[in-house]
Amino acid sequence: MKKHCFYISAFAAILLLSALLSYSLPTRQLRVMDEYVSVDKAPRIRPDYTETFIPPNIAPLNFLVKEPATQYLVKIYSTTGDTINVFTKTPAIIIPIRPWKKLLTANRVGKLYFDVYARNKTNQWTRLKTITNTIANENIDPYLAYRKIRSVHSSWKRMGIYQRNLQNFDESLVLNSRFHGGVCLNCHAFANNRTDKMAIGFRSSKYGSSALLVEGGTAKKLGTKFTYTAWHPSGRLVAYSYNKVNQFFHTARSEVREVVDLDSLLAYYLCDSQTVKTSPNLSKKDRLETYPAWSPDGRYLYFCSAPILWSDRDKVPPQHYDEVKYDLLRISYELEKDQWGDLETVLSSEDTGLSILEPRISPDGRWLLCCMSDYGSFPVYYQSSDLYIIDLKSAEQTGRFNYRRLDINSDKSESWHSWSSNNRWIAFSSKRDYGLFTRSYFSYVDEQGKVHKPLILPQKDPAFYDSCIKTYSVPELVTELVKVRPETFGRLIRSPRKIAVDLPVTMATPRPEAPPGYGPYQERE
Amino acid sequence: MNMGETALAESLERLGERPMILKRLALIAMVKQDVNTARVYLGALSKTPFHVDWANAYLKLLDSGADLSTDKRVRHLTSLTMENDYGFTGYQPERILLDLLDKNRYNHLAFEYLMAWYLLTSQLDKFVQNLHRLDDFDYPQIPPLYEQAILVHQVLTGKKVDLKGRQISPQTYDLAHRFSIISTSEDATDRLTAMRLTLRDFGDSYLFYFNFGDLGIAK
Repeated sequence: MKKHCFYISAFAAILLLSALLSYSLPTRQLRVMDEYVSVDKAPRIRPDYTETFIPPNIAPLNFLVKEPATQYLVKIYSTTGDTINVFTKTPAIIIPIRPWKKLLTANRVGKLYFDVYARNKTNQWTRLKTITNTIANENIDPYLAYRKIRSVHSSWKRMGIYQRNLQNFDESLVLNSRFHGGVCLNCHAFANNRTDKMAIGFRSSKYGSSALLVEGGTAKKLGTKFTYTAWHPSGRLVAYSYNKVNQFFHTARSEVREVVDLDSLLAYYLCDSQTVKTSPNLSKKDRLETYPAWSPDGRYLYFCSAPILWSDRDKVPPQHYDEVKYDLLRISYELEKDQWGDLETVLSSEDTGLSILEPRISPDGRWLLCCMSDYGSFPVYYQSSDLYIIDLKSAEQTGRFNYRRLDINSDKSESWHSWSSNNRWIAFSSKRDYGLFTRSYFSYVDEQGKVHKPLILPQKDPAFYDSCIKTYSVPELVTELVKVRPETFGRLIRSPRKIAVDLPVTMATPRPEAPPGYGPYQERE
Repeated sequence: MNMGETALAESLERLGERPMILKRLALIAMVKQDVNTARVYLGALSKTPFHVDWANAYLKLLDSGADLSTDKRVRHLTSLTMENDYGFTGYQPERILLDLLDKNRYNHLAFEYLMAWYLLTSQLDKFVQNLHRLDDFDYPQIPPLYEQAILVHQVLTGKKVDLKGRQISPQTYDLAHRFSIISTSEDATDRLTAMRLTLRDFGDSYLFYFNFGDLGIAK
């Protein structure tokens, strides 16, 4: 027993000594590093955390220094507070979280500097040009919900919706294949950036196509399929699109996959009466309606609409699929009377020359952010898809919806954007840095609507994205964690019990598509 | 290349991150000059024990900014890649193989698949129309199955096929002659009997396949 205690004590002593040594090493090395040569060259770092706006509550922006060296020192500092020194023999700069948070909190609206020093084989230290970022005043919503899936083509085995604490590196599960045995999880949607009202659509050959709805923390299953969903700000109804989605492939294009809605309409679910309705203006026989988005006052439903260019609504690919361009429309709505008003064209594809998709309005109602691409309905697959912004306040005054292409666009696809609850941050998906592998990015939006250079969702391991073959799509900013447990969602999916609601059959109602497993090429990011 | 990518993406999802799959997906991305995608596949591959050197060599090449066409394997695959883009939902062999041969008339695999497709589907007119492509390859003689198909076509149409100086071998004439005698003999009272009579000696021939729509047992 004594011998055992001795070994434990010795082991503890060694650990303590190692800790002390590792703590003192940087200081000793720093003294050695007093001599260095400054060079007029910006260090290459990956991910690119340079000249960005940083949320003051974001997790450390760990990065890799892509300069050859035997040792690295990075000094992180701002106007006030202690400098953080990261000394390492590898290019991975792992920033300690506590001093990082302290530094950011103390320096809102200030600059954040990274001084990178590199030592070469002859022990010569070089100081590269200082990297500068700006710490924003406003926090970003603390959580991000996204779907993780491989870059799948026809079938899938593993997919899940996850939520990430943006203030650290914790990721937790909302729902994945383990709990539902392989259903396809569609887009997740939240009301007012909160999770007490949320929806998840799913499709399954075994369990059918339904929607999971959370109200007041309680989850239930609806007997109707949601594709793209938008909660009314009151939380009393959900507008959603019902799409006959089909996927096909390209023989020679860089992005192999293509998605087309052969038919679609908009409907809405009234939570109190548990009924589904539509309106003639939301479900025209000769048009494709999709991507609903409510104005924050709940008075308008914005959505996208395009003429159907094919007579055969089963043929894939349909005729002229690459000529379909969606307009941005809106329709007024009176909640108390459940009454729809007149339809207005907000922005016509004829004017823009582009297909207008995925409208999302800032919670203060000032800005409408959307995608525009050369054609089609599925921006994440289009290299041409860029983000555009419309000043709705200005439009109210002038009657003209002027749009502007954002400077932050890349030559790759940008899509799936969402707003933070304080209007100052957007999250979006982009293929700018990792090819097929969509990642989530954040950008600061100032009061004038200028959208600043984005930063990628930080990871603990700065090399994480370099070998991650999963895509991160549909990033939704939320202020709280999803409280319903994955087991509960899973049980609901598997359960035969659901709230029976029937989609009203109109002349425009698409015929139900075959569930996954029966028809190929249905999966998409 | 895109069909390969689709098949490999399917395999990746069903079988998991197998090095063989990641390696091919990385190659496809490099052929498509999609450096960012290639990097990620190579990054994943570099974490596997037996392919780390291969992956790192290509990562080094990408980091150097070198022209990928300097790589022999990438250059070869690029020369075979289709350029004509259109949407498809399933495998359309004839159209795709013809497009591949339009891009590169020396694509041997595309040629043999195309001819095999015509033979399998008994489209002998199209098969004969594409015989001229034999000149693009280094065949010492007409492949025996092709010879048999040519004879079948001649019998059906009554027209001689222009073989541009090539000859059908005496062995094929002999095989066809014997097949004809047996399959039309008095013993071959019906199709099934004829099939049984010819199965042993002709089961692996195109004559047998064309007549009975099935493959027999190899001798």
